[in-house]
Amino acid sequence: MPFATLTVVALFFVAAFAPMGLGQGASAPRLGSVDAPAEVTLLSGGARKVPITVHVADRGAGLASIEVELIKHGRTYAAVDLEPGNDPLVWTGNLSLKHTTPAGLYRLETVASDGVRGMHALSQDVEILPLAALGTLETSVSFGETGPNGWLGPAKVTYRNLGNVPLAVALTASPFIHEDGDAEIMPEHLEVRVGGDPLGRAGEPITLAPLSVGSGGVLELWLYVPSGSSQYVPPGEYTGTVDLSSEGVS
Amino acid sequence: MSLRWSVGSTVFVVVSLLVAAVPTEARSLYGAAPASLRFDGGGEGLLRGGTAERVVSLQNQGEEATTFAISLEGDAGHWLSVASDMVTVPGKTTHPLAITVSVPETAANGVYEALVRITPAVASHDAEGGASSTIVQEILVPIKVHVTDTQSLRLTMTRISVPDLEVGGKLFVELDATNDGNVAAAPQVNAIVHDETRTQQLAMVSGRAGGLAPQTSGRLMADLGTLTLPVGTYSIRLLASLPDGEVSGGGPRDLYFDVLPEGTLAMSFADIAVAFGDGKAKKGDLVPIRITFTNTGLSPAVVGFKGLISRDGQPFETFSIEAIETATGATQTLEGFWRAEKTGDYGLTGALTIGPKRVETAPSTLEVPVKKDSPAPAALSLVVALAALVFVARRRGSL
Repeated sequence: MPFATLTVVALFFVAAFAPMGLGQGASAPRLGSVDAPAEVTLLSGGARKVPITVHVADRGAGLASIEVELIKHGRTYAAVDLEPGNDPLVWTGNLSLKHTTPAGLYRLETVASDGVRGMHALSQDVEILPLAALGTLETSVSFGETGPNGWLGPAKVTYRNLGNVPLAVALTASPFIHEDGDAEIMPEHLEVRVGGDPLGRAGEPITLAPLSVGSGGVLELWLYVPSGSSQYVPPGEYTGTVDLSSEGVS
Repeated sequence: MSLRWSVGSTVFVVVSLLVAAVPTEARSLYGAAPASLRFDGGGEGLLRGGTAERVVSLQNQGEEATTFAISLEGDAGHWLSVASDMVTVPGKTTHPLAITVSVPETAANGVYEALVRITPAVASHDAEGGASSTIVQEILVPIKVHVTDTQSLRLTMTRISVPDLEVGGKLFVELDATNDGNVAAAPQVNAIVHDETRTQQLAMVSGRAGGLAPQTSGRLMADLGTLTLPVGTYSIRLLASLPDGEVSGGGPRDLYFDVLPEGTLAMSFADIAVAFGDGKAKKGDLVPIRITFTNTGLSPAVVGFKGLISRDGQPFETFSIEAIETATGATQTLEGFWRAEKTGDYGLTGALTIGPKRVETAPSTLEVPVKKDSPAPAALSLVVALAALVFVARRRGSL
């Protein structure tokens, strides 16, 4: 009886901790190589399709499936079932990676199975590169019109972090130049608010709250038109530039 | 929607023109991967004189093609290079931007920082109302360069002085030094400010001077920042040092300086010259803009340039050059580059900027003429060639 117990435990150990190559033999499929990029650059705001090509060394008794998984710290971030091509020894597919997939080193596990008794796995490293990406809905905004000593706005700018690393974002502005070029409204008169709360005047660079992955916000821009007594403010159209600088924070 | 106001009017019309309906996708979406770069020679550091290259994927996920200006900034910015400082990326595509670092033979060991600034050129638009603004998204890619090699880092100080400053002004330390080593030396200056009688410590400040090339002598300036001290005489204890290097004569030294009423140290500049290229350029040229001046004031100054470029008499875009420190009596040249994207007659007006103060500079002009598709040179070449043939034929006939 003690001998029988020992045998069961030993078999369980093999089943639980040695899956790779289990069932190999005359009937088990066997992988040859996996073509996948060692580094992957994600696509800002979209999904990156990463082509995977697997060369099968031996179909064994019958190759039923090849699955590829991208794993980090035990979590699967993407998976795909490959399909055989015209050549039954070459299977292909695309791993689809969202732009929010965290940067870092992953394990790409490829498992071939006959669906019954045998499987074979290969593992390799893939690095997801950090991607800094900022998107805005607006390419220009209008403030409207007013007379001297009045506020214009809000002109709203909607922005979002569409990469996979947090972003540090700063806002600067150029002077608003009169259409005739003989007068300007300085960026000190441009006030930036978020949710109605003043964040600062653009005379100096304004640091926005750090943007975590996928998060965004709406900036409300208000422009003060100085009174005619404090500076020369002729009627007309004034144009300027608001600059959002983003830097990935690792 | 082209209502206009008249100055002094008592009735104002406010129209808030928000951007049309909010689309579900970003209209403007740019990205860079990797988000930062470290040049470290595989962990061991780059050797002096060595080069390395990395590629950043520049993504334009907007619908429209966009031209990006690439500028290289920071302490190690001038070590970096790119194939072109302007790249056009079609919509929904990615452009591989190769960045090369070349470590100077005189660079001291350490980690140096730089920044790649990627700025989309956004077409200006017609204002629909009283005021409007173009939204520009810049991408900043921070870069670190780790330099390691055998080095001799030695500096001999021959003189240390502290110029007086005005209330609210910057505290500078001037260092006359000789670099006896084989790499550039940028000494760190630490200072403790006391009242005149040395009974009360008022501030601890520090700053780093610019680098002095090996085997040369010169004057370095360290900017210790702005002090909020009232008018009076102060004592300062200074220590100049080099991390990983030796400084002889670097102190500690006890000196005095005065904080003077505002306006005492007349700030003046002479021999201001503005060069907008050489007055003529071709469309697409990168035009150097150089402003040369001499600091004839009584104190060092941090001087930059802000200007407005007009095209055919209309405001076109603003232009600025980063401020640099200028010692008393020194002649300095601020230099920046501007791309002449369109033909036209351009004008540059602007001012030297010293903090909030401005010293207007003389206007300068640049002509970017329309390229004429003139057949004249080709026709002329043909005529000359035919004439040559006739000449040769006649000569042969005569022989």
